[in-house]
Amino acid sequence: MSPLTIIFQVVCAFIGVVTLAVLFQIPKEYLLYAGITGAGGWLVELIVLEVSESPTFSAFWASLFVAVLSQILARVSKAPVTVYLVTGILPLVPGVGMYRTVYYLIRNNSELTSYYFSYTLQIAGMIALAIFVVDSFMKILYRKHG
Amino acid sequence: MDYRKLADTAMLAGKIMLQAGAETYRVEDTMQRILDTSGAETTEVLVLSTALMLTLDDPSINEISKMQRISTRGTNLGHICTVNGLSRKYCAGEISLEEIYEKLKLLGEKKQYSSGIYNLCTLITVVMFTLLLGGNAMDALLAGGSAILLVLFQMMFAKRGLNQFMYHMAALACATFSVSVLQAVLHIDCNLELVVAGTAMPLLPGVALTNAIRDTLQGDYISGAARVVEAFIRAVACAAGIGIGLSFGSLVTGGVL
Repeated sequence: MSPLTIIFQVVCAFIGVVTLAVLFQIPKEYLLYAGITGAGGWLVELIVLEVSESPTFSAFWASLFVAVLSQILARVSKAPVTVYLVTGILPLVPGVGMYRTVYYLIRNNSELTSYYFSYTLQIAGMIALAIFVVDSFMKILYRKHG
Repeated sequence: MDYRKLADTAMLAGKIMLQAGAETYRVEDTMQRILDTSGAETTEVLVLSTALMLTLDDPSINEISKMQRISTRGTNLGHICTVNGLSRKYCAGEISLEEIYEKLKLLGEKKQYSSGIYNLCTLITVVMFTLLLGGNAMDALLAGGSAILLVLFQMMFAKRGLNQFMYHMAALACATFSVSVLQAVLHIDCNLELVVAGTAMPLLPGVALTNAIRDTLQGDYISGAARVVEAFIRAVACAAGIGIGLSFGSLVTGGVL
């Protein structure tokens, strides 16, 4: 993937996530941070995918990045973590995987249906795992500081 | 200290947050903090994804117990921010009980953005996500068309009391069907899966999924499980909508898809 495509995609991710944040009624002052989280997550996804060629692996690292960044930005801007987490994660949700599952289901191709179904679940699972890891880590960190 | 007013305030704050789609532990935490400012001997809060309960008891008063059923839930992350900020200010003693109660009352149905901006953002979101998934200019154009259908659908049915499942399913079925027929009839060279996946983006259960994970981790298994089901049902609604749209699409165009 050429650097130009990557820049274009990241810009798209930024705009897409900001408008998505508006759909979730996020106040204006947090929109910029939400966009940064989404664009950053997508950049990590693209880079890891390019290097490892594994969509589940890249989904994990991208979600991890989004989760850590939302924790930091939430503290900087004094907003609940959810605000950035929800919007940042959304570009990584496997919409195409879901589409293909249904597409092959109505085409009566059970082999590809189950392949894409497990692919979709795997990516969703990776996102969950990444949020789990960061949340648990933050809990330990906060217990230490009282 | 007006205990009854305090209980009302805590309940109202919890209700707004839960209806806006906050995580269970955040709602419990906020209500608990508000109740704790009374210094009463016993304060208990229980939040499920469909109901709120609280108890406030002290030797000096009659016990107060309240319960609130939550039947409608949406997504309004702005309300979560606002209530969070208000309760923080109240607990720090910066505003009085009357002030916070009045402000919460006013919050009610207030929306951050007008419906015009909302619709425009739906359109931009769909187009951007289609490009993000690897679509070209033609795909983006078609996605724009399907987003307009989605917006029209929202305008027509949002206030008709259609349940969430049917609403999402019908919206996506309508958009998918139109796009697939349009593509086949006009022989447009485009990537249908990217257009449909982009259109589905605003309807995907992002909030429910994230909350499901966080609630479960927090140990709120009842709410966590309820939200896993919520996320799954919403995903199924989207998938069913796409399926219906595609089936009818290929039926009408004679299996060109």
